[in-house]
Amino acid sequence: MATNTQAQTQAQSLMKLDNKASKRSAMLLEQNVSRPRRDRVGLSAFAFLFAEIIRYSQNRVLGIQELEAKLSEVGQRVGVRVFELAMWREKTVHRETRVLQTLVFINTVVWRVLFDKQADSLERSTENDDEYMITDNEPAILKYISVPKEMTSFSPGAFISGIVEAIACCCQCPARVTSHVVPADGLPLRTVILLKFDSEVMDREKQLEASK
Amino acid sequence: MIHALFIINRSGGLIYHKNFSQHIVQLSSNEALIFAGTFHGIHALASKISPAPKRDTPRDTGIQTIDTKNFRMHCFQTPTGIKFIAVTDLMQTQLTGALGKMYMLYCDYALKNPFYNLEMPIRSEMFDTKLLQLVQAH
Amino acid sequence: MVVVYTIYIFDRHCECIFYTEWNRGRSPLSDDSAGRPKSGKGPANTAHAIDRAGTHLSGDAQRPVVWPTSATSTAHRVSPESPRNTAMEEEAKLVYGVVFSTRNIINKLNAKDGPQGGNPGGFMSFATNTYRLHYFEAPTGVKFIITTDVSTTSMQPVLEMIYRNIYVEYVVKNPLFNIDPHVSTPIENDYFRAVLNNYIREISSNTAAS
Repeated sequence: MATNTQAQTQAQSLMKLDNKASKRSAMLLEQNVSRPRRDRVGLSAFAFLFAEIIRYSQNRVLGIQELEAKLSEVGQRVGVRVFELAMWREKTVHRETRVLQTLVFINTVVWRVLFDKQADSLERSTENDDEYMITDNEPAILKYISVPKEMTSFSPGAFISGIVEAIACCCQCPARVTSHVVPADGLPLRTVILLKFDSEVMDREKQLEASK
Repeated sequence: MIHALFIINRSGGLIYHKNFSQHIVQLSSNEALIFAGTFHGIHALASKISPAPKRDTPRDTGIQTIDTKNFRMHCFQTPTGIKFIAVTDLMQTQLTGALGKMYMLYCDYALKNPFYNLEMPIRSEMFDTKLLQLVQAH
Repeated sequence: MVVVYTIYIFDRHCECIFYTEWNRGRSPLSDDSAGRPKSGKGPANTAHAIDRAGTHLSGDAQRPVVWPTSATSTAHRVSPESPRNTAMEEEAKLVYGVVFSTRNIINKLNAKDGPQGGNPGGFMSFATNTYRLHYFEAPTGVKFIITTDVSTTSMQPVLEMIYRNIYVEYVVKNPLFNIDPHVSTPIENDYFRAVLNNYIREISSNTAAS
């Protein structure tokens, strides 16, 4: 008798567990896209996928520049979709058109959608007026990547710069976006995303400024 | 105190070797390869010559520790056949925890690194750094 | 409690000159009757007789199996037809190979360009999940190996004791022991066997009591 009831309770608890698990997976899969902060992707799962993207690209290019271009291309395709998603989630009714507002939008909203945090800094280049820098001290998606010595100039952040480039483009502020690994103390992966806006964007900025 | 670490892949090839102190000899790369091959062999043979009665003992899974006058060697074999071998001082009776953490580092910083080729030597700066942190904290 | 499984003694020629076992479930000796001296065959018969004669010394009916005897050892085989226990030979070779390689890698890690022979690295034991193997090398190159359960960590004093007070006393000092510097001779000394057997039984039960 005793063993029987024990077995029953065991079976019940197992069923409960099973229910819980299926509920959880259902929650994850059937989540509404508009829910901003609930759906997260496992970093490991993403790391494996991203590593495979890099390996796949590496076998189809000659040289580091081409590899970065390829990653940037992948990033751009992601960027277009992320832009749409960010807009939908933020429920913003207007689209940013000014350079600075676009940059702030990328720095905060887009970064939150992508990495669940804001970028660490947004700066204007001291040398050129049309250059801006977004810095991330520890980009989560690069966490496990060690670039071999013979490829030191390669920046795996090209994927992120691709995303940023697509979004800038969608905001009517086309720019050439590149990424650079600039290690700092204790931050070996610190990555700087450099945006160089097209000349027509800067001209338009000046006109808008003048018309004010 | 961990003096050195060796990682051996499932076919007996050395994929990582690092000394953390001067306590044991710094092997040349050739000597380290021989070490790996030899250890791989004795690890497998040691389970073959188990004298324990087969009836009531589990299957022998190979060498776990080696005691010597000056140091102790700990071996942790993953279910996938990779061996983590640490050389420590004699005070260290158990190292399963630290070796498990090293296995985790291997999974994170070697396997998830797009520039790592399976079964090949680990050349990853991040792995080096994290491993050193782990050894120093230990 | 110390559970002793086996003892191996290897001489300078890497040849197993003595093997005995306790508490071992299946072994190449008990599996394969070919390894045991059979009565009715010339040299094997004498070995058997000696074996039986030793019984009263140990005072124990359950005498451990030993190997090799002059009838089965490779070096001293009288004729090709003599019984040979290949499984046991194989195992002895494996054991020797494992301890020899282990000793060498430890020597390598211990001192650069150190002496090649001997045990300067101080290899003492290794453990798997089912047993522990203890190693002791005499300065003369004779190697004593004892396997026990995993939890018995220090058998160095025991091995040293076996070397100093049993091997030297009953084997080396025995004028009838034919120490040939060029050929291996199996230890067939009954006093040695009996004293060793008693000593192992003693340490097994002693530690159990303490």
